Amino acid sequence: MSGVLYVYAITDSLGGPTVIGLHGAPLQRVASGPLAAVVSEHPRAPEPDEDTLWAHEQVVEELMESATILPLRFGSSVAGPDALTAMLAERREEFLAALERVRGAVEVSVRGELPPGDSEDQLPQAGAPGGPEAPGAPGSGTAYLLERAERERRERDAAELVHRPLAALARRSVPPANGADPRHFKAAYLVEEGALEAFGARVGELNAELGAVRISATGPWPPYSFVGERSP
Amino acid sequence: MNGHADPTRRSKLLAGDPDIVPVGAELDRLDGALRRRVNAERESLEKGLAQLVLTVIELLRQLMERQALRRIEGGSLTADEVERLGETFMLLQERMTELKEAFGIEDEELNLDLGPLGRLI
Amino acid sequence: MSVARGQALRQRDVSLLDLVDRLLDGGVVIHGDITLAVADIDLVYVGLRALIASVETIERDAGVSLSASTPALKASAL
Repeated sequence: MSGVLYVYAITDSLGGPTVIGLHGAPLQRVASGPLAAVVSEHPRAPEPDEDTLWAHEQVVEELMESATILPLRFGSSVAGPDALTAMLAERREEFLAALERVRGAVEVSVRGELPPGDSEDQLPQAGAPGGPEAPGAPGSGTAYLLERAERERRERDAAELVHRPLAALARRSVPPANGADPRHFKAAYLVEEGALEAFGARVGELNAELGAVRISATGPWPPYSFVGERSP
Repeated sequence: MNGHADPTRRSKLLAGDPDIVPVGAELDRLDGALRRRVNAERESLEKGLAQLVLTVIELLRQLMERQALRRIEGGSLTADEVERLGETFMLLQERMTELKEAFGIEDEELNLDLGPLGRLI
Repeated sequence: MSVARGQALRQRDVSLLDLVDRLLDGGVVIHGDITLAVADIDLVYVGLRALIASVETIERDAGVSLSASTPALKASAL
Protein backbone atom coordinates (compact mmCIF):
# COMPACT_ATOMS: atom_id res chain seq x y z
CA MET A 1 0.00 0.00 0.00
CA SER A 2 1.43 3.33 -0.94
CA GLY A 3 0.53 6.48 0.87
CA VAL A 4 0.32 7.17 4.56
CA LEU A 5 -1.97 6.82 7.51
CA TYR A 6 -2.48 10.30 8.89
CA VAL A 7 -3.18 10.29 12.63
CA TYR A 8 -5.47 12.78 14.38
CA ALA A 9 -5.91 11.48 17.89
CA ILE A 10 -5.62 8.60 20.33
CA THR A 11 -8.69 7.53 22.25
CA ASP A 12 -9.96 4.81 24.58
CA SER A 13 -13.49 5.01 23.27
CA LEU A 14 -14.94 2.54 20.81
CA GLY A 15 -16.99 4.67 18.48
CA GLY A 16 -19.06 7.72 17.95
CA PRO A 17 -20.94 9.54 15.26
CA THR A 18 -19.42 9.49 11.79
CA VAL A 19 -16.71 12.10 11.29
CA ILE A 20 -15.07 12.89 7.96
CA GLY A 21 -11.30 13.44 7.83
CA LEU A 22 -9.09 15.77 5.79
CA HIS A 23 -9.89 16.14 2.10
CA GLY A 24 -13.07 14.15 2.57
CA ALA A 25 -11.22 10.94 3.50
CA PRO A 26 -13.16 8.61 5.83
CA LEU A 27 -11.85 8.09 9.35
CA GLN A 28 -10.73 4.67 10.52
CA ARG A 29 -9.68 3.35 13.89
CA VAL A 30 -6.52 1.32 14.44
CA ALA A 31 -6.88 -0.49 17.74
CA SER A 32 -4.39 -1.92 20.19
CA GLY A 33 -5.77 -3.19 23.47
CA PRO A 34 -7.80 -0.48 25.20
CA LEU A 35 -6.50 2.22 22.86
CA ALA A 36 -7.27 3.24 19.31
CA ALA A 37 -5.69 5.74 16.95
CA VAL A 38 -8.02 7.66 14.67
CA VAL A 39 -6.59 7.89 11.16
CA SER A 40 -7.35 8.54 7.52
CA GLU A 41 -5.49 7.37 4.42
CA HIS A 42 -3.79 9.79 2.08
CA PRO A 43 -1.27 9.60 -0.77
CA ARG A 44 1.07 11.87 1.22
CA ALA A 45 1.11 13.69 4.56
CA PRO A 46 -0.82 16.98 4.45
CA GLU A 47 1.05 20.30 4.34
CA PRO A 48 0.52 22.81 7.15
CA ASP A 49 -1.27 25.71 5.48
CA GLU A 50 -3.94 27.75 7.23
CA ASP A 51 -6.93 25.95 5.69
CA THR A 52 -5.51 22.49 6.35
CA LEU A 53 -4.68 23.35 9.96
CA TRP A 54 -8.25 24.47 10.59
CA ALA A 55 -9.62 21.41 8.79
CA HIS A 56 -7.47 19.17 11.00
CA GLU A 57 -8.64 21.05 14.09
CA GLN A 58 -12.26 20.61 12.97
CA VAL A 59 -11.83 16.82 12.84
CA VAL A 60 -10.20 16.68 16.29
CA GLU A 61 -12.88 18.89 17.85
CA GLU A 62 -15.63 16.70 16.40
CA LEU A 63 -13.95 13.62 17.84
CA MET A 64 -13.71 15.37 21.19
CA GLU A 65 -17.47 15.94 21.27
CA SER A 66 -18.19 12.28 21.91
CA ALA A 67 -15.02 10.85 23.46
CA THR A 68 -11.95 11.58 25.54
CA ILE A 69 -9.04 12.03 23.14
CA LEU A 70 -5.35 12.84 23.07
CA PRO A 71 -4.80 15.14 20.10
CA LEU A 72 -1.70 14.41 18.00
CA ARG A 73 0.70 17.02 16.72
CA PHE A 74 -0.19 18.14 13.21
CA GLY A 75 1.60 16.16 10.52
CA SER A 76 1.79 12.88 12.41
CA SER A 77 1.68 10.07 9.90
CA VAL A 78 2.87 6.48 9.71
CA ALA A 79 3.49 4.12 6.81
CA GLY A 80 0.94 1.53 7.94
CA PRO A 81 -1.16 0.15 10.78
CA ASP A 82 1.59 -2.16 12.12
CA ALA A 83 3.83 0.77 13.09
CA LEU A 84 0.84 2.32 14.81
CA THR A 85 -0.23 -0.73 16.83
CA ALA A 86 3.39 -1.25 17.89
CA MET A 87 3.61 2.33 19.12
CA LEU A 88 0.28 2.13 20.94
CA ALA A 89 1.35 -1.06 22.69
CA GLU A 90 4.76 0.34 23.64
CA ARG A 91 3.35 3.56 25.10
CA ARG A 92 0.10 2.19 26.48
CA GLU A 93 0.67 3.26 30.10
CA GLU A 94 1.72 6.75 29.02
CA PHE A 95 -1.40 7.22 26.90
CA LEU A 96 -3.80 5.74 29.45
CA ALA A 97 -2.42 8.08 32.11
CA ALA A 98 -2.72 11.05 29.76
CA LEU A 99 -6.35 10.17 28.98
CA GLU A 100 -7.15 10.20 32.69
CA ARG A 101 -5.38 13.54 33.08
CA VAL A 102 -7.58 15.22 30.49
CA ARG A 103 -10.89 13.38 30.79
CA GLY A 104 -13.84 15.76 30.98
CA ALA A 105 -11.71 18.85 30.49
CA VAL A 106 -10.74 21.27 27.72
CA GLU A 107 -7.84 23.60 27.14
CA VAL A 108 -8.07 27.38 27.31
CA SER A 109 -5.30 29.67 26.10
CA VAL A 110 -4.85 33.04 27.78
CA ARG A 111 -2.74 35.84 26.35
CA GLY A 112 -2.36 39.44 27.22
CA GLU A 113 -0.37 42.50 28.06
CA LEU A 114 1.13 43.18 31.45
CA PRO A 115 2.07 46.67 32.59
CA PRO A 116 5.55 47.55 31.30
CA GLY A 117 8.15 47.82 34.04
CA ASP A 118 10.42 50.85 34.18
CA SER A 119 13.33 48.61 34.94
CA GLU A 120 14.85 48.69 31.45
CA ASP A 121 16.12 52.22 31.99
CA GLN A 122 17.67 51.31 35.30
CA LEU A 123 19.27 48.06 34.20
CA PRO A 124 23.03 48.55 34.23
CA GLN A 125 24.07 48.02 30.64
CA ALA A 126 27.37 46.38 29.89
CA GLY A 127 29.71 48.72 28.05
CA ALA A 128 28.06 52.02 29.00
CA PRO A 129 30.69 54.74 28.68
CA GLY A 130 32.53 55.50 31.92
CA GLY A 131 30.46 55.31 35.08
CA PRO A 132 30.08 52.62 37.70
CA GLU A 133 28.03 50.48 35.31
CA ALA A 134 30.97 49.55 33.08
CA PRO A 135 32.39 46.05 33.59
CA GLY A 136 35.57 46.27 35.59
CA ALA A 137 34.24 49.06 37.80
CA PRO A 138 34.05 47.95 41.42
CA GLY A 139 30.74 46.32 42.29
CA SER A 140 29.34 46.59 38.78
CA GLY A 141 28.92 42.83 38.42
CA THR A 142 27.00 42.64 41.67
CA ALA A 143 24.84 45.62 40.71
CA TYR A 144 24.03 43.94 37.40
CA LEU A 145 22.87 40.71 39.03
CA LEU A 146 20.93 42.46 41.77
CA GLU A 147 19.08 44.57 39.21
CA ARG A 148 18.30 41.40 37.25
CA ALA A 149 16.96 39.76 40.39
CA GLU A 150 14.77 42.78 41.15
CA ARG A 151 13.41 42.89 37.63
CA GLU A 152 12.61 39.18 37.72
CA ARG A 153 10.77 39.60 40.97
CA ARG A 154 8.62 42.40 39.58
CA GLU A 155 7.82 40.41 36.45
CA ARG A 156 6.88 37.33 38.45
CA ASP A 157 4.57 39.36 40.67
CA ALA A 158 2.73 40.89 37.73
CA ALA A 159 2.22 37.54 36.03
CA GLU A 160 1.07 35.95 39.28
CA LEU A 161 -1.75 38.47 39.63
CA VAL A 162 -3.25 37.03 36.48
CA HIS A 163 -2.12 33.42 36.68
CA ARG A 164 -3.03 32.55 40.25
CA PRO A 165 -6.80 33.22 40.10
CA LEU A 166 -7.06 31.43 36.76
CA ALA A 167 -4.99 28.44 37.86
CA ALA A 168 -7.34 28.16 40.86
CA LEU A 169 -10.21 27.55 38.44
CA ALA A 170 -8.34 24.94 36.41
CA ARG A 171 -7.43 21.32 36.92
CA ARG A 172 -3.93 21.93 35.62
CA SER A 173 -2.06 24.78 34.00
CA VAL A 174 1.01 25.72 32.00
CA PRO A 175 2.13 28.90 33.77
CA PRO A 176 3.75 31.80 31.90
CA ALA A 177 7.40 31.03 31.18
CA ASN A 178 10.04 32.40 33.54
CA GLY A 179 12.29 33.91 30.93
CA ALA A 180 9.55 35.07 28.61
CA ASP A 181 9.02 38.69 27.58
CA PRO A 182 7.40 40.13 30.71
CA ARG A 183 5.05 42.35 28.73
CA HIS A 184 3.39 39.36 27.06
CA PHE A 185 1.40 36.99 29.23
CA LYS A 186 0.87 33.55 27.77
CA ALA A 187 -0.48 30.56 29.64
CA ALA A 188 -2.65 27.49 29.10
CA TYR A 189 -5.26 26.02 31.44
CA LEU A 190 -6.98 22.62 31.60
CA VAL A 191 -10.53 23.48 32.61
CA GLU A 192 -13.42 21.16 33.51
CA GLU A 193 -16.07 21.35 30.81
CA GLY A 194 -18.64 22.47 33.35
CA ALA A 195 -16.37 25.26 34.63
CA LEU A 196 -15.61 26.76 31.24
CA GLU A 197 -18.18 29.54 31.46
CA ALA A 198 -17.04 30.56 34.94
CA PHE A 199 -13.44 30.60 33.69
CA GLY A 200 -14.36 32.93 30.86
CA ALA A 201 -16.21 35.16 33.28
CA ARG A 202 -13.14 35.33 35.54
CA VAL A 203 -11.02 36.45 32.59
CA GLY A 204 -13.47 39.29 32.05
CA GLU A 205 -13.39 40.16 35.75
CA LEU A 206 -9.59 40.28 35.83
CA ASN A 207 -9.63 42.68 32.93
CA ALA A 208 -11.87 44.95 34.95
CA GLU A 209 -10.13 44.45 38.32
CA LEU A 210 -6.51 44.81 37.22
CA GLY A 211 -6.59 48.03 35.23
CA ALA A 212 -3.18 47.86 33.60
CA VAL A 213 -3.59 44.21 32.69
CA ARG A 214 -5.50 43.28 29.54
CA ILE A 215 -5.98 39.63 28.70
CA SER A 216 -8.06 37.56 26.34
CA ALA A 217 -8.83 33.85 26.24
CA THR A 218 -9.41 31.44 23.35
CA GLY A 219 -10.93 27.99 23.59
CA PRO A 220 -12.19 25.45 24.20
CA TRP A 221 -9.34 23.59 22.56
CA PRO A 222 -8.49 19.89 22.64
CA PRO A 223 -5.87 19.40 25.40
CA TYR A 224 -2.73 19.81 23.24
CA SER A 225 -0.62 21.24 26.04
CA PHE A 226 -1.46 18.57 28.60
CA VAL A 227 -0.79 15.28 26.84
CA GLY A 228 3.00 15.03 26.88
CA GLU A 229 4.92 12.83 29.32
CA ARG A 230 6.45 15.87 30.98
CA SER A 231 3.33 18.02 30.73
CA PRO A 232 1.81 19.56 33.85
CA MET B 1 -19.42 24.20 4.71
CA ASN B 2 -19.59 23.95 8.45
CA GLY B 3 -17.31 24.45 11.39
CA HIS B 4 -13.82 25.82 10.75
CA ALA B 5 -13.96 24.95 7.07
CA ASP B 6 -15.90 28.20 6.73
CA PRO B 7 -13.28 30.97 6.96
CA THR B 8 -15.70 33.23 8.80
CA ARG B 9 -15.98 30.60 11.57
CA ARG B 10 -12.36 30.59 12.68
CA SER B 11 -12.60 32.55 15.88
CA LYS B 12 -12.03 30.65 19.11
CA LEU B 13 -12.42 33.67 21.32
CA LEU B 14 -13.82 32.74 24.73
CA ALA B 15 -13.47 35.96 26.71
CA GLY B 16 -11.63 39.26 26.88
CA ASP B 17 -10.64 41.68 24.14
CA PRO B 18 -8.37 40.27 21.41
CA ASP B 19 -7.58 43.77 20.20
CA ILE B 20 -5.07 44.22 22.98
CA VAL B 21 -3.11 41.06 22.30
CA PRO B 22 0.22 41.98 20.69
CA VAL B 23 0.18 39.44 17.90
CA GLY B 24 2.09 41.34 15.23
CA ALA B 25 5.57 39.94 15.79
CA GLU B 26 4.25 36.46 16.50
CA LEU B 27 2.23 36.39 13.30
CA ASP B 28 5.37 37.18 11.33
CA ARG B 29 7.16 34.37 13.11
CA LEU B 30 4.20 32.08 12.44
CA ASP B 31 4.43 32.89 8.76
CA GLY B 32 8.08 31.91 8.85
CA ALA B 33 7.39 28.74 10.85
CA LEU B 34 4.80 27.53 8.35
CA ARG B 35 7.10 28.21 5.42
CA ARG B 36 10.07 26.59 7.13
CA ARG B 37 8.20 23.37 7.64
CA VAL B 38 7.22 23.22 4.01
CA ASN B 39 10.58 23.86 2.37
CA ALA B 40 14.01 24.80 3.69
CA GLU B 41 16.02 26.65 1.04
CA ARG B 42 19.78 26.76 1.25
CA GLU B 43 19.92 30.41 2.31
CA SER B 44 17.43 30.01 5.10
CA LEU B 45 19.29 26.81 6.06
CA GLU B 46 22.53 28.70 6.61
CA LYS B 47 20.87 31.49 8.51
CA GLY B 48 18.94 28.80 10.34
CA LEU B 49 22.20 27.23 11.51
CA ALA B 50 23.48 30.54 12.87
CA GLN B 51 20.11 30.97 14.53
CA LEU B 52 20.39 27.49 16.02
CA VAL B 53 23.84 28.10 17.44
CA LEU B 54 23.00 31.51 18.87
CA THR B 55 19.76 30.15 20.32
CA VAL B 56 21.68 27.46 22.16
CA ILE B 57 24.11 30.05 23.51
CA GLU B 58 21.23 32.31 24.55
CA LEU B 59 19.48 29.36 26.20
CA LEU B 60 22.57 28.50 28.22
CA ARG B 61 23.23 32.14 29.09
CA GLN B 62 19.70 32.62 30.43
CA LEU B 63 19.74 29.33 32.32
CA MET B 64 23.05 30.14 33.96
CA GLU B 65 22.00 33.67 34.80
CA ARG B 66 18.82 32.37 36.37
CA GLN B 67 20.78 29.80 38.34
CA ALA B 68 23.09 32.54 39.60
CA LEU B 69 20.05 34.51 40.78
CA ARG B 70 18.62 31.46 42.54
CA ARG B 71 21.91 30.92 44.34
CA ILE B 72 22.17 34.56 45.35
CA GLU B 73 18.69 34.29 46.84
CA GLY B 74 19.71 31.07 48.54
CA GLY B 75 22.81 32.73 49.95
CA SER B 76 25.21 30.06 48.72
CA LEU B 77 27.62 32.44 46.99
CA THR B 78 30.23 34.77 48.45
CA ALA B 79 30.19 38.47 47.62
CA ASP B 80 33.29 37.94 45.54
CA GLU B 81 31.65 35.11 43.57
CA VAL B 82 28.57 37.28 42.98
CA GLU B 83 30.74 40.07 41.64
CA ARG B 84 32.68 37.74 39.35
CA LEU B 85 29.50 36.09 38.03
CA GLY B 86 27.87 39.46 37.40
CA GLU B 87 30.90 40.76 35.50
CA THR B 88 30.93 37.63 33.35
CA PHE B 89 27.23 37.86 32.58
CA MET B 90 27.54 41.50 31.61
CA LEU B 91 30.34 40.63 29.20
CA LEU B 92 28.36 37.67 27.87
CA GLN B 93 25.39 39.90 27.19
CA GLU B 94 27.65 42.34 25.36
CA ARG B 95 29.06 39.49 23.28
CA MET B 96 25.61 38.15 22.40
CA THR B 97 24.56 41.59 21.19
CA GLU B 98 27.65 41.73 18.96
CA LEU B 99 27.00 38.25 17.58
CA LYS B 100 23.34 38.99 16.88
CA GLU B 101 24.32 42.16 15.02
CA ALA B 102 27.01 40.31 13.05
CA PHE B 103 24.51 37.68 11.88
CA GLY B 104 21.65 40.11 11.42
CA ILE B 105 19.44 38.16 13.79
CA GLU B 106 16.68 39.77 15.85
CA ASP B 107 15.78 38.79 19.40
CA GLU B 108 12.47 37.24 18.35
CA GLU B 109 14.31 34.92 15.95
CA LEU B 110 16.20 33.32 18.82
CA ASN B 111 12.99 32.17 20.40
CA LEU B 112 12.54 28.55 21.27
CA ASP B 113 9.64 26.59 22.63
CA LEU B 114 10.75 24.41 25.51
CA GLY B 115 7.35 22.78 25.99
CA PRO B 116 6.45 22.78 29.68
CA LEU B 117 9.27 25.25 30.32
CA GLY B 118 7.56 27.75 28.08
CA ARG B 119 9.23 29.91 25.49
CA LEU B 120 12.83 31.02 25.78
CA ILE B 121 12.17 34.67 24.99
CA MET C 1 -12.17 49.18 7.72
CA SER C 2 -15.03 49.27 10.23
CA VAL C 3 -14.27 48.69 13.91
CA ALA C 4 -16.42 45.55 13.92
CA ARG C 5 -14.62 44.07 10.93
CA GLY C 6 -11.27 45.01 12.45
CA GLN C 7 -12.21 43.23 15.65
CA ALA C 8 -13.37 40.17 13.76
CA LEU C 9 -9.98 39.96 12.04
CA ARG C 10 -8.21 40.34 15.36
CA GLN C 11 -10.21 37.47 16.83
CA ARG C 12 -9.15 35.29 13.91
CA ASP C 13 -5.50 36.42 14.31
CA VAL C 14 -5.37 35.38 17.94
CA SER C 15 -7.26 32.19 17.20
CA LEU C 16 -4.87 31.30 14.37
CA LEU C 17 -1.88 32.04 16.59
CA ASP C 18 -3.20 29.78 19.34
CA LEU C 19 -4.15 27.13 16.78
CA VAL C 20 -0.64 27.00 15.33
CA ASP C 21 0.94 27.03 18.79
CA ARG C 22 -1.06 23.94 19.63
CA LEU C 23 -1.02 22.00 16.39
CA LEU C 24 2.65 22.52 15.55
CA ASP C 25 4.18 22.58 19.04
CA GLY C 26 1.69 20.62 21.16
CA GLY C 27 -0.10 17.31 21.08
CA VAL C 28 1.25 13.79 21.23
CA VAL C 29 4.46 13.25 19.25
CA ILE C 30 4.85 9.84 17.66
CA HIS C 31 8.04 10.13 15.69
CA GLY C 32 11.33 9.19 17.27
CA ASP C 33 13.73 9.35 14.31
CA ILE C 34 16.14 12.26 14.35
CA THR C 35 16.60 14.22 11.13
CA LEU C 36 18.99 17.15 10.96
CA ALA C 37 16.71 19.73 9.43
CA VAL C 38 15.90 23.33 10.26
CA ALA C 39 12.21 22.42 10.40
CA ASP C 40 12.39 19.78 13.15
CA ILE C 41 14.09 21.99 15.66
CA ASP C 42 12.35 20.51 18.68
CA LEU C 43 14.06 17.13 18.23
CA VAL C 44 17.46 18.68 18.69
CA TYR C 45 16.48 20.13 22.01
CA VAL C 46 14.80 17.16 23.64
CA GLY C 47 18.23 15.73 24.34
CA LEU C 48 19.50 19.05 25.57
CA ARG C 49 16.69 19.42 28.08
CA ALA C 50 17.55 16.03 29.58
CA LEU C 51 21.17 17.06 30.02
CA ILE C 52 20.71 20.35 31.78
CA ALA C 53 20.32 20.34 35.52
CA SER C 54 21.45 22.88 38.06
CA VAL C 55 24.84 22.24 39.65
CA GLU C 56 23.23 22.18 43.07
CA THR C 57 20.74 19.49 41.97
CA ILE C 58 23.49 17.26 40.59
CA GLU C 59 25.70 17.77 43.65
CA ARG C 60 22.78 17.01 45.93
CA ASP C 61 21.51 13.97 44.02
CA ALA C 62 24.93 12.43 43.43
CA GLY C 63 26.23 13.38 46.87
CA VAL C 64 29.38 14.77 45.30
CA SER C 65 30.99 18.10 44.70
CA LEU C 66 31.52 19.20 41.12
CA SER C 67 34.57 21.32 40.48
CA ALA C 68 37.05 22.09 37.76
CA SER C 69 39.58 19.83 39.48
CA THR C 70 37.52 16.69 38.81
CA PRO C 71 36.67 16.89 35.09
CA ALA C 72 36.05 13.16 34.79
CA LEU C 73 33.39 13.30 37.49
CA LYS C 74 31.72 16.26 35.77
CA ALA C 75 31.48 14.40 32.47
CA SER C 76 30.04 11.24 33.99
CA ALA C 77 27.54 13.14 36.11
CA LEU C 78 26.05 14.55 32.93
